[in-house]
Amino acid sequence: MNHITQPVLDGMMELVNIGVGRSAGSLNTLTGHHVSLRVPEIKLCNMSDLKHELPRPDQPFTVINQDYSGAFDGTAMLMFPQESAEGLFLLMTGEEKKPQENEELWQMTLTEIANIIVNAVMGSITNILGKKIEFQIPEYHEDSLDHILTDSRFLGEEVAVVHTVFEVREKDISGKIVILLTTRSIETIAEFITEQMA
Amino acid sequence: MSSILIVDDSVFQRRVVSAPLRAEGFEVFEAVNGNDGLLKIHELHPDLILLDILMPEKDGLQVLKELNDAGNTIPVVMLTSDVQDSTRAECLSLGARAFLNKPVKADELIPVITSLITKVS
Repeated sequence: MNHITQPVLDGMMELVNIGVGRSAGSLNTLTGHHVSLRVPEIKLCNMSDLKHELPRPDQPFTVINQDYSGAFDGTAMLMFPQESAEGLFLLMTGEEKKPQENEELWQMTLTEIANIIVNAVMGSITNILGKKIEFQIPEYHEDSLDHILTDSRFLGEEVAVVHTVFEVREKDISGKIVILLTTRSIETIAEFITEQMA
Repeated sequence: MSSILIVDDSVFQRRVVSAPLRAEGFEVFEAVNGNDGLLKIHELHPDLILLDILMPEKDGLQVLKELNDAGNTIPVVMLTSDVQDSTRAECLSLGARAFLNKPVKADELIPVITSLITKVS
């Protein structure tokens, strides 16, 4: 992956920006509040080193990850600190507190939000590339990133990590969108960008 | 009263979508996956089906194919997070009458449903 040039990386960032912008629109519709996004960052690294790229790897997060495959493959994650997960759940459902006896509603609400956001990001990118990917059912975890990343099927692989932070400031909610792309995926996207720039 | 069957594995999504439909006067049934959806379509014969794609056991595309093969005449509206043009094209070619992306607003969803039910009846 070292051969990826800066213009190609810039092109990848632009694709991600478009996808993340669409996801912000979806979140805005879901929450009814303005959603702020930070500029996405992209890093090329080994999956085993990924925890050093993400904040607080030993702290518990609510994480929903969704694998995808097809024209390109990888996994996408939505990560919330526990308090933000609860804030988002209350905002979305109109409940007054986190349900103690309805774990299904809790998990399904957060999982569905992640599903919508991941699809918005990745679907926008595949539309631009004229490709197709298949999504797996999202998985819900409450764990440290250390553990979640150790279990990843991409452990040991070189990956591109794209991550950004979104915030619903009025409600003090924040979360992180993390997209992992495998080497093959990066090459597919790099080919497209190179063709477009030719 | 027209009836709508929501086929979606997410209890959150069923809750969000069913509330405005009930408020609009529709009778709303729910199915929790593709297999449950097919059973309830045969059992309840709804006026319209709202169908998610990504579901365990049997996904929405498989349900759509089976309905299409069986000569289904009930309008099917896809309601999915999948924003890919290729998925939209596949669903429409398999007989879906409309393709909407989540999250959908009530003022976007209800006119589509009303129009399709009116056309059929």
